[in-house]
Amino acid sequence: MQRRTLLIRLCQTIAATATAVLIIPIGRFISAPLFRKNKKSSGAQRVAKLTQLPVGTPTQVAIIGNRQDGWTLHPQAVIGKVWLIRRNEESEKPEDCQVDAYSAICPHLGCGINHSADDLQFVCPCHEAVFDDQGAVAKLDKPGYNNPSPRGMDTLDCQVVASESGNDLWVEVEYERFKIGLKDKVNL
Amino acid sequence: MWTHFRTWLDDRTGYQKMLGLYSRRVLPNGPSWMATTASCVLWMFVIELITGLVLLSSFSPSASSAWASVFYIEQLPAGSFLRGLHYFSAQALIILFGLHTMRVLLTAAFREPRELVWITGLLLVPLLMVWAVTGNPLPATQKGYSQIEVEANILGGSPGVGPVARAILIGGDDVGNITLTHLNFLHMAMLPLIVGVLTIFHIWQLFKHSPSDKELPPEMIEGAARYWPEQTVRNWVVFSIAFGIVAYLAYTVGAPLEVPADPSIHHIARPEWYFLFLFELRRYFPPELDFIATMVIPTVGLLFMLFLPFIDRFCSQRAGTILRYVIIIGFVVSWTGLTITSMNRDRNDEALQASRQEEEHLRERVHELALGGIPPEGASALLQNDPKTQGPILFKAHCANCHSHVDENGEGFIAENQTAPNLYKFGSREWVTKVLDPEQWASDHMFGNTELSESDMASGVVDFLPDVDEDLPKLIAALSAEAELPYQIDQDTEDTEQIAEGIEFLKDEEGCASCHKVYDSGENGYGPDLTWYGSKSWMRDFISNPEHSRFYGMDNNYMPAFAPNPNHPTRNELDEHSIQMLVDWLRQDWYEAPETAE
Ligand code: FES
Repeated sequence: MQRRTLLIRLCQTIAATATAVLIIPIGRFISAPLFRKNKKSSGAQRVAKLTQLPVGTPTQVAIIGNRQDGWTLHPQAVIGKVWLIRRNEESEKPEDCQVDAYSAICPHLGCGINHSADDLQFVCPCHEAVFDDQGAVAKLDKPGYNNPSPRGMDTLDCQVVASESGNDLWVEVEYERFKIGLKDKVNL
Repeated sequence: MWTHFRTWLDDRTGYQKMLGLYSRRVLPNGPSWMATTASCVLWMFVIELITGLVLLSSFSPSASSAWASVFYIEQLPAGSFLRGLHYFSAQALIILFGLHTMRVLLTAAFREPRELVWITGLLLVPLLMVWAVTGNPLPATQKGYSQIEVEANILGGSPGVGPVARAILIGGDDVGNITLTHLNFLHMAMLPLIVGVLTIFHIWQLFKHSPSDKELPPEMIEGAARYWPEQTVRNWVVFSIAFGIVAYLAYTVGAPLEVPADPSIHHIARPEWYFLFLFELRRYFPPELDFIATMVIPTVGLLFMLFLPFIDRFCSQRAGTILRYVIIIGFVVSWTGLTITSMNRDRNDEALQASRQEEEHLRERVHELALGGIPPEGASALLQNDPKTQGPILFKAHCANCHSHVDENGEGFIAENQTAPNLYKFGSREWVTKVLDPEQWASDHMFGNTELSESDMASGVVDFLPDVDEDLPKLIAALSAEAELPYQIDQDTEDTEQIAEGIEFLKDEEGCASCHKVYDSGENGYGPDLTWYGSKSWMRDFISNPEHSRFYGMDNNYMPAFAPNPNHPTRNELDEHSIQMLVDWLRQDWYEAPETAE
């Protein structure tokens, strides 16, 4: 009887070890995406000349950067889109120029937000999230309308700087991404 | 010989007994058309497996090659048809599965002892959905990418394991290479395995609980219909209708292959038609309760259905029947209602329709370009490097404020403040003719609104041109030939002699060369260099920096310099590639599919 128990224990040990040798690496392999480190934002980037932006009307610009896609590195690819709104006419002193930047990623489920020229609002075409010109969650004048977005459009750090030659003013944006579907703006 | 072999095989495997259990079974109630749905689902499933397996042989799951490999499949003999079969039989499978489930409900075939048949069958519902969802993005189209992104975000929004599952599925910040390999793995390995095992279990249970001949009194067996071939023929007739429709659609319509994934294309995501009802349902919930529509309702619905055999037990005969009818009618009505509402909304959504149409143009163009060859970076590079596609976008963003680009029919861009010339066919003979016609020169369409309208050019043309007189066409041809415009190449080669003579007029130090540099005559500093005027390099340099001494020099107050810092690309408004796209577009220098001789 002793001997049998021993043999059974031995079989169980072998099976358990073999399983562990497989399961642990498989688990680590599959869950790799969970432990990927997110790289820090690549810093402020020039996205447009101030003169390109009409006052009050949002303009969409692309953010260019290196995009790592699995085993491929795409240098200088579009990594995001940003809505810029120039708030005043000022075009002399960079400190006095006011430009706001909003990420074009909808906080609801991540679609690209459009701007509707007709009703001067940001509209997400996927589930009709509507935002006002300050990026805040807005209402739509429709019975039974629910704004699906949990928060307003994500603001990005943005400033106006003079070019090296001093002749031009450029808009600089620090592009970041945030978790979607949350009430609060949390960095990805 | 054949009989011999069969006996030999049967002695060893006993397969005839196995098959006979099912196929030789008598049907006490006779064969039925209603009962054909099960077989249809099974065979449609087999079609999926076979076509999927074949397509797998030529599919490459990577962000740069997936689209290209699917396009390649489309070009292979019968490739388009096979892919169409795979695409449409998937949808047929979903429909047939729905019908089959309803049929089982209607006949209450889930009752004891077949609870497990019912449960395994129902477990296939979410699996089939995931199967479809993981298949649609595989060709790496922008549509597929947008869909899986939204679907992954829905998954990520569900409490508990949601975010983890989402991260593993996507495999990175964005949908890309890893997402494709993961989807490929799920679609082509994991799901076939799980669904296969469940299906086998499902059918085994069915075998086990089919009434055996031995249980029936002999007089019922005598002369009764049998499964093979009485029921089978019905099954196959119905299946052949379904398969016929699928094959017809595959042959005539084929599976779509939309624009390759490219973040600069704005695709408005919509689920496939079979998921539209969930898409519509969520509209009626506020954001905090979103997951009720996408997660809770489907899960609770499924759980309820899974437990139906046990719930049914507590119902009286009548209540059970009512319950089943309520479920069927309720589902059909709400599914149809929600789907139709959603479709109607989209049909009336002008922005959506316009964007779909724009995508359709891009799709046609990308197919045209792809026939000319897909570069190693992948199919998305086709449109990014296509002047015909990029030119108008860039022109609109950077040039159309001052310049129009309007063709003979008045189509194109009309400048908001037309302060500069219409650039349509810049450098062509028509264009040069307008430059050299004092009246046209001063019109709004040309330099009329610029400060040049009062420059020496205006008077120079008036003073100098009469001397040229009947040789003016030669001068025009010569100047225009400097551009080497692809659409003018035939004319230019035809008129070589006139052009050679015209060059001499251009170089006349009393005429053009008194202000312009033309090859070795004249000097820079007054008017723009006319050597290679309108050519690729001339235009590139001009757009980069019109202030250069070759062009307007420091007098330039007409046009901004778009790339004045060759050594600091980030300080330029336009990068090299964009300028090249603009130049090639203005020169109408883009790939056109060779006309097929018919
Ligand atoms: S993703 Fe923008 S409204 Fe849903």
